[in-house]
Amino acid sequence: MSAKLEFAVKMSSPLCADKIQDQLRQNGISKSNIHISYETGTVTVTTDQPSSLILNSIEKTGIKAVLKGYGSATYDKNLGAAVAMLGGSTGYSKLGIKGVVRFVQINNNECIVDGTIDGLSPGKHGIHVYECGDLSNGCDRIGDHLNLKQTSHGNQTDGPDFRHTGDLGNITANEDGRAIFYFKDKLINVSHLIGRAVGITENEDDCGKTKINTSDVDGNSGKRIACGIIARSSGLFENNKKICACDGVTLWEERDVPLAGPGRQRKI
Amino acid sequence: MAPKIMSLIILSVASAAVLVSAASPPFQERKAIVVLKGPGQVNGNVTFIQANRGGPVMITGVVSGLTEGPHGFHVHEKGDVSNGCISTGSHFNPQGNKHGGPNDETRHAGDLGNIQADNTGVAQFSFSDPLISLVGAHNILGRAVVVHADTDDMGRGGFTDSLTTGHAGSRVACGVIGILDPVTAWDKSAGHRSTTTSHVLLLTAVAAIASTLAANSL
Repeated sequence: MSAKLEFAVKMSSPLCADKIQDQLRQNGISKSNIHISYETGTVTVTTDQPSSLILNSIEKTGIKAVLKGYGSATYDKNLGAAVAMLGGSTGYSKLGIKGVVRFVQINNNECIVDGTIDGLSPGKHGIHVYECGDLSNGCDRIGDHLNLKQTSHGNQTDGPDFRHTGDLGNITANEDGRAIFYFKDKLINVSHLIGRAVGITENEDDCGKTKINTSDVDGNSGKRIACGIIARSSGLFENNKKICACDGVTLWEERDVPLAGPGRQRKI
Repeated sequence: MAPKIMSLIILSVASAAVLVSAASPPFQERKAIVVLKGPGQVNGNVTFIQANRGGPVMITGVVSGLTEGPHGFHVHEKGDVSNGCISTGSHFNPQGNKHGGPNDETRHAGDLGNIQADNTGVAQFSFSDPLISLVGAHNILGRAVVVHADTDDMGRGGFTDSLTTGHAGSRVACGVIGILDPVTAWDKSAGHRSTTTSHVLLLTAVAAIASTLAANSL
């Protein structure tokens, strides 16, 4: 089962639509899975690829895009969509790590985990959902791995009785320190994740397999080096292009001006 | 006739018992927290505590780095900060109302009015709100708290955006509301428990009436 991604794209002419379509098709997306509306400035793609790759593909044409909706390609109803920003100004990280992890429920039994994390040391790092969403002391107060069934630590691919709810295994950072990941999980459900945290660990998670030290608790994955709260985000077509009713600023302008402070004080 | 009534009584009592045993455990006090940060120097912490389902939420916090005076303080619909405070959407407004103040009949659920910063730029506050919740349709978990640059006019300022945003200006800090306690499931089903409970109560009452009627006719 695939996901559908909705992007707000600032197209200056109808020709842009063709350029975007060509670029997406070069990325292996068939024509029937691409819908572009120049009038509404929307590009909708049905895919099994990470959202960051699709976004890059669109932006390769030199046109800016923002992911504004994410949902199931099969169901019209929003079954649950969430996003966590790690590090940066809203999440927490000691080491300048930044990233985004999206959770999208595509049916009752499958949740997409789609993310990009930058600034990691190359190699494997554990990724888990933690039980609390308290960033008042960095990543120290987010609690233990989310464990709704009181089970031992395990791997994301293990059965429901052999892993914590929040055990999502490892992600792998490349030589540049970037990890891009995309998988479907059968145990987590977006409704259980809202308001909790997702965190990345210093070391590789042994997924409970080594049986030494804290293997059955945290897989010896070490300190949490970046975390963020799992927040509600927009499902498909829930978000108007003018997403800020607050001051009438559109996505585009907002992206280009400082969020607050002197540059933002002038009325647009 | 009597055995029939007796069996009716037994059936009613038994079904009521089954339904009661299926009812959820009592509501456990819920606590949530938001850490506010902005691109400037504004930062703060706010906690939300709800002791009873459907009861008021106690809001306690400290925000510093503000300019002196009142600043709009709202819960926004989404907690999505992937494009900064802007992607948190509009004020949380599940009822589709016009903007107002926290004490107004007509208001967004997320309209919490203003917080007042002193001459050192610190706002300390503690108040309760009847409309926001940590359970059910007005659940604010996973949404964002946004502090604005200017005063929220509570819809009365006569500006073009008074009835939508209270003319509170740009967003100087925001954060996502996260779980503090308890750590057990806070999912959607928990939010619908009250309906189940009321059904159980109704059926129990029906069963009790049936038993009384049957007893009287004996």
